[in-house]
Amino acid sequence: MKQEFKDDFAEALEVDAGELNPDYVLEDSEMWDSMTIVTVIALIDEHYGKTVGGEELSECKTVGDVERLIGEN
Amino acid sequence: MLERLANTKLEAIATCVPSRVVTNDQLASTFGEEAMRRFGKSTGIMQRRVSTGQSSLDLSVAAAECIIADGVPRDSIDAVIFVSQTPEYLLPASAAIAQHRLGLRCDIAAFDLSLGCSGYVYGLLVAGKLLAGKTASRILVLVGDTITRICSDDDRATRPIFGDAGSATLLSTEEGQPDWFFQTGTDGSGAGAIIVHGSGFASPDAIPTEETIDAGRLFMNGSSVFNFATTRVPEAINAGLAELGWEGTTLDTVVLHQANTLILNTIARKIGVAKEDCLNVLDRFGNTSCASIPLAMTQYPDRKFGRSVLSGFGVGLSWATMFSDLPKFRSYHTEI
Repeated sequence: MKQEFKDDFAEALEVDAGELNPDYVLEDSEMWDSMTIVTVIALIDEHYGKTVGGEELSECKTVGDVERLIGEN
Repeated sequence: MLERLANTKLEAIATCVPSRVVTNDQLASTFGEEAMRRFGKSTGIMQRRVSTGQSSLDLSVAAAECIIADGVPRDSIDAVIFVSQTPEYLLPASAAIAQHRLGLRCDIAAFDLSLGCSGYVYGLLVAGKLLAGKTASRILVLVGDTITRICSDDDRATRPIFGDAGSATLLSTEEGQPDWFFQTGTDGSGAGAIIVHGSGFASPDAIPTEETIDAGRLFMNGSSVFNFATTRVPEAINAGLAELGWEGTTLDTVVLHQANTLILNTIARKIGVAKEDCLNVLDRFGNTSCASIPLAMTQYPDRKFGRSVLSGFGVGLSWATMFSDLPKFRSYHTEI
């Protein structure tokens, strides 16, 4: 995962970037909701040039799942 | 392939908003302080104007009166178009009511166009075509929506986003004006992304709902709208720029439909324009649907618009972009 994306992802979840290892459960962040999902779609577009769907992203349970979705894993 | 319109003059734009302001703090009692803090940060929207009974037509007619009061004889207007998805009635057309309220002649064309966020640019295109075909020589395009009146009070996906506004734009034929170029697009497979179920005569299963939202209230799928806006729209704008041989960096003014700051910044990045060069009045007005482009424009009354791109996109799904060198036009803004 690119560090810049990780930093922005952590900011969106309002957690420390250091916490975002692949096993981090997204729902452990109180911020993981439909608003944050759109923010993360935008971040993935900005950092990876990829378009991911809201449904696909909402099915991700962990940071590892997001990495796989982006194709970073 | 862009559509070219010659000899079209944008004489004036006027906008009108309801006087009632609703701030994010005021919405915190419904949605929570923390949620509204995050909402403001993510969308850039801090307050919105909310109708206390004024209709889209009321707001747009008030805007038109600003233009008329400044030296435009009512009998010089020979067509009126009303663009809205919150009209006065299912029937008659609101444009017919506008003809009467504005004291225009009876030997003129008046009709409605049902489009949302893409509606302003489509309105300019259709009016421009009427001028080019000599159906009319001076046209009022009234464009407005009161989306707050169809939002569910407790739907965080819609209620904080929208504000209400109306507008009037006066167009006429004039030799020697810079050409206008238009791109248009439609994708009805996305009809369910922004929809008011049960608001018409469709069979109940025509477009399935995935979410629980009251019939008669606006439903919007935020993530699919974001994906649409940040893929189709920059693609279309870039194709238009390429056809004209314009670089994003040479644009003087970009006015995108004011959906939210995240969408604006993403589109700006993809068309090679600094986000600071895109007009943004979201903080004050929120998303005002089809009126958002003219509303953004009238907030800069002294601006030299120059080489401009106006792009509206949203419900339908529908999108349209106008590319032109815009000379100075008269600009008005009011509230009722």
